[in-house]
Amino acid sequence: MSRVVLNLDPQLVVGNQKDPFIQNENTLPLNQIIPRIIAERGSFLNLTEESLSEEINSEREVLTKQAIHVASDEYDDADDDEAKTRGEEFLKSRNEIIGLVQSALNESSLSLDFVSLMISAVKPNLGNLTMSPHLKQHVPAGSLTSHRVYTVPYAGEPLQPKKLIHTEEGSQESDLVVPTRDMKIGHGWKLESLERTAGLLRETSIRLSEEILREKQYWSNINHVLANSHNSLFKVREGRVREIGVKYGYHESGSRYHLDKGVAILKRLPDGELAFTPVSSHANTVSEEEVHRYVRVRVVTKVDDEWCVTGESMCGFRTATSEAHGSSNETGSPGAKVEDNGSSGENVDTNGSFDMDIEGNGITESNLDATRQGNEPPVDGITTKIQRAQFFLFEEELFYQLTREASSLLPYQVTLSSEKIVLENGTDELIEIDAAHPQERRNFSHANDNRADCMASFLRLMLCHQHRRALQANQRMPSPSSGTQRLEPLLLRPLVGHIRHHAHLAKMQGMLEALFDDGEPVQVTKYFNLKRQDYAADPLVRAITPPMSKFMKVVVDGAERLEIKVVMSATASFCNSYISVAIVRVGEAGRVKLLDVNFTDVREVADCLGWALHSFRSG
Amino acid sequence: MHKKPLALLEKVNGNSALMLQKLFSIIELSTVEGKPKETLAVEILQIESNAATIIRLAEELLTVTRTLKENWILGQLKLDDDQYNELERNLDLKMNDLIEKVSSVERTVIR
Repeated sequence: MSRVVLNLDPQLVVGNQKDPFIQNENTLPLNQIIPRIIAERGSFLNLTEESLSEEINSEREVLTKQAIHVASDEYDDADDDEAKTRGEEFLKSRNEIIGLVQSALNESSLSLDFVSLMISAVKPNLGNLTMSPHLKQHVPAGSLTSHRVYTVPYAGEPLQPKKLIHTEEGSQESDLVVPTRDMKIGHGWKLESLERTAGLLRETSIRLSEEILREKQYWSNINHVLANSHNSLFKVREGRVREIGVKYGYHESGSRYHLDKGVAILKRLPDGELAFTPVSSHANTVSEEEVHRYVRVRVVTKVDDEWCVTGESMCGFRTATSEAHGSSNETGSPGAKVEDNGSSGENVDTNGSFDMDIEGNGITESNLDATRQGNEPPVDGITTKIQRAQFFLFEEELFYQLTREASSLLPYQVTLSSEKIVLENGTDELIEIDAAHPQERRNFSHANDNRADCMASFLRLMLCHQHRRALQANQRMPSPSSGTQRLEPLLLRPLVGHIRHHAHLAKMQGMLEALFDDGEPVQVTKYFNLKRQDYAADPLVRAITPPMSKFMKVVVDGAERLEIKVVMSATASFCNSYISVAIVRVGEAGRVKLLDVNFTDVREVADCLGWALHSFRSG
Repeated sequence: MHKKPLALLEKVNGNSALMLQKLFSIIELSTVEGKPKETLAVEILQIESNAATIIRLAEELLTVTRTLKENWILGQLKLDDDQYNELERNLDLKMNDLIEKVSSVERTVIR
């Protein structure tokens, strides 16, 4: 690509302005042209005669070529015209470009002036530096900002403005105003504004006073909940909204049930009322009726080769008002009314006088009547809901723990199938434990209802006791090796153990009475392994200690006596039992221990004792 | 714990003083005499912003009462020892009675 050198003709620049960058090469002084030559062609060191002649020749060739071209052009008329127009076009375009460049220059200097003028308001020195002299002469510095707009003070009738407003162009516009009209406008504006303000304040005061009423309602509700339940309230931050939560779970009482923490939020409804919303994993998916089940114990007996229910425990849930009435009436009753240290929901009496207070909505008609008469606030529903949730949480945990324990009790005739735990006694009786809806109420009473209720109460008490043990374990200083110890569930085991123990006792007593056959009942001491002070330390100690009972019998034959002592005890796992027999002969030779053996079966004991008696009586 | 009531008191005092001040300035701003149009335009906006500020201050006072209630309600510690002791008393006897009940019925059934 050949280099085309463009020379700008200084004559073409219109006007008197002379561009300092456009220079005539022929008039350049020597000290300027030499660096230029070096810049364009390189150092003079490389200059040779041959290279110069070559260059001259090539230039000459180009010139001759152009000459030939021009000559050939001359022969063609049409081409000639075209060339002429092309040259004209070129000149025209060049002028156009120059015009554009000039206007751009002008524009840029104008905008520079504008920016300088603006800057001069803030930084006068900087603005003055770049301002053009023409602008400086006509426009005062810093006049483009609003605070330099001089306003006209009113002092009566139309006035000549004292100062003029300088616009950018420097033209002068007088701001002629009519003050009376402005005064009127001002009055209007002010009145409008004051009216708006007054309206706003009025609206707000109405809104806020309503808000205060709602707030009052809300807090009185909260206060009522606080006064009427034993649960702790705490702050909850749910997103941006602050709510008050209620903890009705048993974790502070030692429960380690993790599926439902027993926390609910008392949501604030727009009208200041409360809404009880439990926070649990299944609260949103399953309806309340699905979740709320109680542990039901049923006694099934074989009557005429047919299994039929002869006893069924009730749902012991009561509402707050009936509980208050009940506790005041029953303080003197002999029934075992026991409550867990943290729970208020399960209130059990064993008189068999259970009130079925729970309907689908949780409030019976009698309670509603009491509510109407006693001017109770409507939040009573909330406390009932809390108590309901608390009660059924306890039942849920109870059933969970029961199934957990039942799975390990398979060798002891405890079966777990389709959400039902079945205990077999080895007799014509089964004990079934399942989770039932409170609505499944029994229609008629059975013979063993009271016993079923007792068993259900027993299971509940055992769970309370387990909580207590967990609480004590939590309070103990952890030993470095063990870490957090796992508590074995101890709910079904004592029940099974006690039932078996008593069955064995009855069997043994029958056997012994048949064996001695002297018309005297055999003396039995139950739970002789427990002392009075043990009860003082832990009231439930009998339930968690494997039972131990002993039979004492003295057979007298002349001067000699045979003291027979049979001790029946259960192993630590409650379910296996062993029988130890000790026979002491007291006679002339003093006390002689004849026998001290352990058995596991009543039959073996009978054989052993039969032999011992026989040998004693025969001498 | 000591600072909180002081801060609340200060807030109540400060807010009521500010509300009065804003109301005063609304009244002051409502004069028209001898003011140019531009000033008037600015002043009407000032009046409205003062009103908005008064509303905000009033709402803040409401939160003060809410905080007080919240602290009072949630700061309570319930003590009902009497009830608890009443329940604790003779618990062992009741428990034994219960076990006895379960077992006695059991025995009659077995026999």
